Formats: sequence, structure tokens, C-alpha cells
Amino acid sequence: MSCEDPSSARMIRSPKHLQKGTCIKCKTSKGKITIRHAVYCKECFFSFIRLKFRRGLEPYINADPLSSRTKLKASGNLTLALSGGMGSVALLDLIYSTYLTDTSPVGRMHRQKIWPQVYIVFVDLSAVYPEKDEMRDLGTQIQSLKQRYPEVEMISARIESVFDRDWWTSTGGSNVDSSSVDLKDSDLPFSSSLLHDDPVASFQKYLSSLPTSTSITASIDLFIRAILVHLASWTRSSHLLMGTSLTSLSVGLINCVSQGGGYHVHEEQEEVLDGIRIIRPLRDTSAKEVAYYAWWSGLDVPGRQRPTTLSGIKEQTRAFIFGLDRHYPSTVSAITKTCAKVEAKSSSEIVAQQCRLCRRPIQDGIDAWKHRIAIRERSATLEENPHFEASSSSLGRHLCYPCHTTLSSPNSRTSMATSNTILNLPVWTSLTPRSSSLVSNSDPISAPIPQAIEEFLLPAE
Amino acid sequence: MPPKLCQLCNETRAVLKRPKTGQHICRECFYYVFETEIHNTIMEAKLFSPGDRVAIGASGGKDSTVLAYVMKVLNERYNYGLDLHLLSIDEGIRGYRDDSLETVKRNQQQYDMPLKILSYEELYGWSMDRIVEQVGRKNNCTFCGVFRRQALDRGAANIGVDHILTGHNADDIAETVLMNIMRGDIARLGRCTLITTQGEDTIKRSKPFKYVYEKEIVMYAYFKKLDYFSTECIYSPDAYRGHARTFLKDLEASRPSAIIDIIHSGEAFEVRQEVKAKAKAQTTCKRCGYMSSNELCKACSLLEGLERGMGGLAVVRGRCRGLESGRR
Repeated sequence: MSCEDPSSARMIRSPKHLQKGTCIKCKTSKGKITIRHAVYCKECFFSFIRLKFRRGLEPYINADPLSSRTKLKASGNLTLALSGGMGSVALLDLIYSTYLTDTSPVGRMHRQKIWPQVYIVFVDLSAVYPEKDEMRDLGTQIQSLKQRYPEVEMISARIESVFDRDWWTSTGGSNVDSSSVDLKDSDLPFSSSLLHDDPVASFQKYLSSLPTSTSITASIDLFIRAILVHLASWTRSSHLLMGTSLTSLSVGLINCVSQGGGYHVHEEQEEVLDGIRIIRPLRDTSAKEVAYYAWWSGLDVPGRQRPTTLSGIKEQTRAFIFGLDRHYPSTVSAITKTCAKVEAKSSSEIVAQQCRLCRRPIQDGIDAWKHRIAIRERSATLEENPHFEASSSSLGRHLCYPCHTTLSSPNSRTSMATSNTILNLPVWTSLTPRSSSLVSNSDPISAPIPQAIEEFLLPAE
Repeated sequence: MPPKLCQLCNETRAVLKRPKTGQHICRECFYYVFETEIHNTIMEAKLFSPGDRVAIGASGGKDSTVLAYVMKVLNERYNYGLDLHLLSIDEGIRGYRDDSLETVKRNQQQYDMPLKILSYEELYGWSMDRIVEQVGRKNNCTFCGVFRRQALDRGAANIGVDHILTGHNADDIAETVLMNIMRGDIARLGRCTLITTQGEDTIKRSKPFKYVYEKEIVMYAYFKKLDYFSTECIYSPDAYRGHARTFLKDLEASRPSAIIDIIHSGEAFEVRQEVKAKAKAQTTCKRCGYMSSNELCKACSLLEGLERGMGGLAVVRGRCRGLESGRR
């Protein structure tokens, strides 16, 4: 079957263009950088990046996108997610230099501020790897980075805050609850036993109970997003900006698809949550362009807290896409363009329910689909009732496909431990549902074992 | 240490770890879940009606051999009432297809199904050996893939069947989803996860192994001692779909459910209406009448190139057209 459509078997490597000749834009200066076969001088490169940045942001600033774009006015404040990575640092600089200084062309054009107040939010991940000193140092580096931008206000939050009811309430959260779930059963029944009240312990227990490295990375990403949206809501922001570059967006999209999140491909690109519009203004700017912008602007990039020991789907996707970006940059942009052309299948399938964890829409019929295509128990119920539904007293019923997979999909080498499977849920995951004779008889073991299945055959007694 | 019991029946010793779920199960339970899941897929998609004449695309390889065997078992067990046939395409590759066709002929005896073999030589006047002589090994898979698709349709029409079953498995489909996203092929992305495809003038094609892992097919063939041919094509020893396949295998090693998760993703989204509206309308080939989006269908434009002695150029032209339509 592998050569059914072989025309695409091998990709043609893009020819390498030397950085030579004059700038394609001004046609006078010497070219300094090659972007997708076009040569730019330093000055034109900066205006090109700013143009793409503004094109990725300004159509979404006004509450009514159809209103005239001559006057930009947001309905609330601005929150900018700052991880310390190249994208978020470059985004902060672009926001500051374009809208918050009077010397900038747009600053002059818009005498009034577009956003009354600009916040940067840094989520401290040191609880993920408490033994690593560099994780703790990042907070200090972010503080010193902030000095460069006096008009913005900085808020720091710790990743374990997602288990901290006091913090969540003090930052404007309501309906916080504590509940726990048992991962031993794939339906994820709620457990009556609450483990402990310490947020760090709850957080670390949560991560250590997850079945795969992929689940750990996915959960960390989910918690960061939840904190960002929560703080954006607390600061009365109308916009939450992420420094996701084109390359990172491609990683996110393929990662999303690979974890079963096809229903959320649109949300992965842009979404509105609690009235806050989440935007990625650098989504048309490649990682290479962002890196050159940061380098030529003399920005101090502390670097992200990225766990190096994990090797899950996101890390593999990242390695794959960044590899493509080096040799086949058009493939990377094709990924985002393709995903922009698809949407969740027919809205009639949407149940008025949000996923209890990620708060994205839940597709109908997931339980039945999962039970039909992968039988996990040999009971009469499954044969007689192919339209199986998990019990409503289980968390599984209230999760979207990727979140359910995150909590229940086992690794190929290790099956889930029988102990250590009850964990506390993040504070917003409340118990109350939200609205919304042909065969030879000889012993096959004596035949040579195909290599592909060798590791799946259990040793004889 | 006592032997592990099967996690499904809790009675017999587990002999394998299921690639799809990670469960330790016994041989009988493996047969049960493997066959029942395929039956569930068939029933959910309402693939057949009693009395249907169905051709199984048989290459002699593991997928089509297991498909023929399982279809025979399920047809008898659940009284589908199908008239099953084997349909093979002889591409004309000496030292490869002639050997695999011997396997198909044995399968015909073992499964007691009528077999029809159609060759590229009689359909197009060209065998793959001759095509490779002209175009070389670099682009020959393009010819083979395009010709095989039409050949199956023509073969099916020839024996009067209503439906063709192919052995595409979950790994193939997941890989196609990734490939289509990466190359921006919206039209194919929209239909690659469909279990059944049918053009206006073409015969219905279905993939009952849509949710079956390749590893489980190998495992099933191994435990059932099925007779299949396992050599790679001599003209495309590396004709895997490059980057996407390697990447998919890495993902599967990380999280075995990745294959099924990607298929779920592909099923969960669809092409936006406004994008669909801009897509090129389907017409028929002026030369052979087969469905086509251009004046000549892909097979005819490749044949035209071969007849002019410019086969390699036809592939490049086709790719350029593809790129242009992708841009549009």
C-alpha cells in the first residue's frame, strides 16, 4: 500500500540561495538575509517583519472587525505571554516599538493608546524540574528584561497555581472546586478521596501519574494556557498575545493533529475564550526571521524553560518541523495554510459542552468511537451496545478527545502502574457539568517471528 | 513469577501485547478483538448489502492476504451474503510480481474465491519493466500508482463487481493525513479518511482495515499462519512515503495511540465551504473517459509521454500542474 501515491514519495530539496545581490525591496542596498529565496537588506527586513506583524494583529484589535481600521481601539487591556523564548521577546519588542512609543509611526498616528494598559505574564515552570537551578534563574532574567519596557506591567505566576484554590480565587477566579480522578479506569471515574492541599505536591503528583511523556508536555502546555487566560481575564484584557512563530505554529498544529485534536485545529490558530481574543501576531514570521529580528535588534533572550529530558510527541514534532524548516521551508508554511482551510466537521455535531480540562468544544460520540475501534473489554455490553457512552459520573464523559487521550493512553513499553493512579484535578475542573480450516494447526511460535511484531510477543513461561 | 493472564478473558495466559491498546492478551482474544473491530467498522459504515459482488484487491502481500481471509471469515460468521472475488493487477515486474501472483493463486485455492488477473501490458500496452527501461527508477512509482488505480476499476468492471476492497491499514491512512497536510493537498485531505470513496463513473472502493494497525495485521497473519508474500518491490525498495512514514513511526513509538489519534483528527475536520467552492470541477478524460480534473486523466497523460518517449517529462509536468493548482 505504501506506493499507492508515490509521486510524493520524496520531497525535492530546495536549492540553497547564497546571500548575494541587492535587496529585492529597495534595490539599492546590499542584501543581508535570504528569506524563502528573496534577499533583503537589514532595513527592509525590519520593515517587512513589522508589516507582517501588524497584518497579523491589527485586523483583530477592534471589537468589531468590520469597523474602519484607521482608528484602532481595543475594548480592554492587553496581556502578552512571555515565556522567555525568542518569539515572545521579539513580540514584546514589536508591541512596544510599534504602539507604545511616540516615536514610532503608528504611535504618532494613534495618539490615544490602543490598550489602556499592557501586561506581560510570565509562568514560572520551576516546579516541573525543582532540581534545576536554571529554571529558577529565568524569573530573574525576565525581571531584568522587563526593565527595557517601562510602560508594561509584569505579572508572574507559578505553574502549580492551577491547584491553588486561594491563588485562583485571589486572582478573580470563581466556582473553584477540588476533585480527584482515578486514572486506572479508562473512563476516568471521579474519586471521593482528595489527596492533599499543597499545590506543589498536587502538581507533581499529577505529572508523575500521567502515562506518557507526551501527556506531561500536553498537561504543562494546557496549564500554562489556563493561567494565561485566567490572568488575562483578571486584568480585564480583551487580547492575549502569544509569540508563536510560523514554525512554532506548524509544530503546534501537527502536534495537535497527532494527539487527536483535529476538532480543535481552528482553536489552535485563533480562539476566543471568556471574551478574550487569543492572537499569534507572528504566525506568518518564521523562526529564522524572528531569530534575526532579535539578533539585529540586540534583544536579550533569556531562553524558554523547555524540559530537555522528555521525548514525547511534541518534542518529536518540534525536531521534525525544525528540520523541515531548514531544508524545506515552504512545507512548514504549507502546514499552516492547509490547516487554515479546514474547520471542525459540521457544527450540528457539537454538543453544548466544553472540555472540563482545556475548555475547548467536545465532539459528540467520542466514547462510542473509541470503544468501537479498540475493544478493551470482552463484555456483552459492548457487543450489544456499540453506541457505548461512559458514565456521567466519570471525567471521561466531560473531556475532549485529546484530553481524554492525555490521561488514558498508555505507553508502548510500560503499562500504567496499578498504584499511584488517583490524582487531584486543577481547580477549574469542578464536578458540576458546565452547560455548553484455512488455518494451519501447527504452533505459530515455532515459525520465525516477523521483526515488526517481535517486541509485542510475550515470552513463554 | 506466575504467567500473566489475558486482560480481556482473565482465564488464559497472555501471549502478546496488543500494539493498539497496550493490553496483554491471549491468542483467542486477539482474534476476537481483531475480527470484531473490523466487523464493527463494516457495520458502522454500512459497507455492504446482501448479494453484493465484492472484489478484494489482492497483491499477495500481508494486507490483502489478511483482508481476503478475514472477509471470508466475517462473511460466513455474520451472513453478509457477499459474493467475494480476488482481483489482481500484474504490473509486469519480473522477479517480483510474478512471484507474488503465485501467492495470490494459492490464496485463491485456500479461500475458494474466483480470481481475475489483469496486466498493465493488456490494459496500457506497457509493462513496468518496459516503463523503467524508458524512465529509469526515479519516477517509475508514479506510473505504477496511477495505472494501478485505473486498472483496479477496469478489472472490477470487467468481472462485474459493485465494490472493491483494498487493504489500506490505519498506518497508511494516518501517514496520508500527515502527507496531505504537509503538501497542502486539501482535496485529498478531505477524503483520505473516508472509509468509502466513489466518483461518478467509478466503482465504490472501501478500506475495511481503516482502523487496523499494520503491526496487528502482521501479528494476525503470523498466528494464523497465513500464506503471504513479503518481499518489497524491486523497483522501489524504499518506496515508503519518506518523511511522513518515518515521523509516524517515531510518534507511534512514543504513544501507540498516535496512529488512531491522527485518523480521528482527519475525521474530525473538513475543508471549509469557501475553499471547496474554489476547487476545480471534476470532468472526464477526453481519451479514455475516466474521471479527471484536466482534459486528459493522469494515466493518459503519462501514457502520452511514454508514447512520445518522454515519460520522465510527463511526471515533472504533472507535478508542476499539481503545484500550480495547489497555489490556486
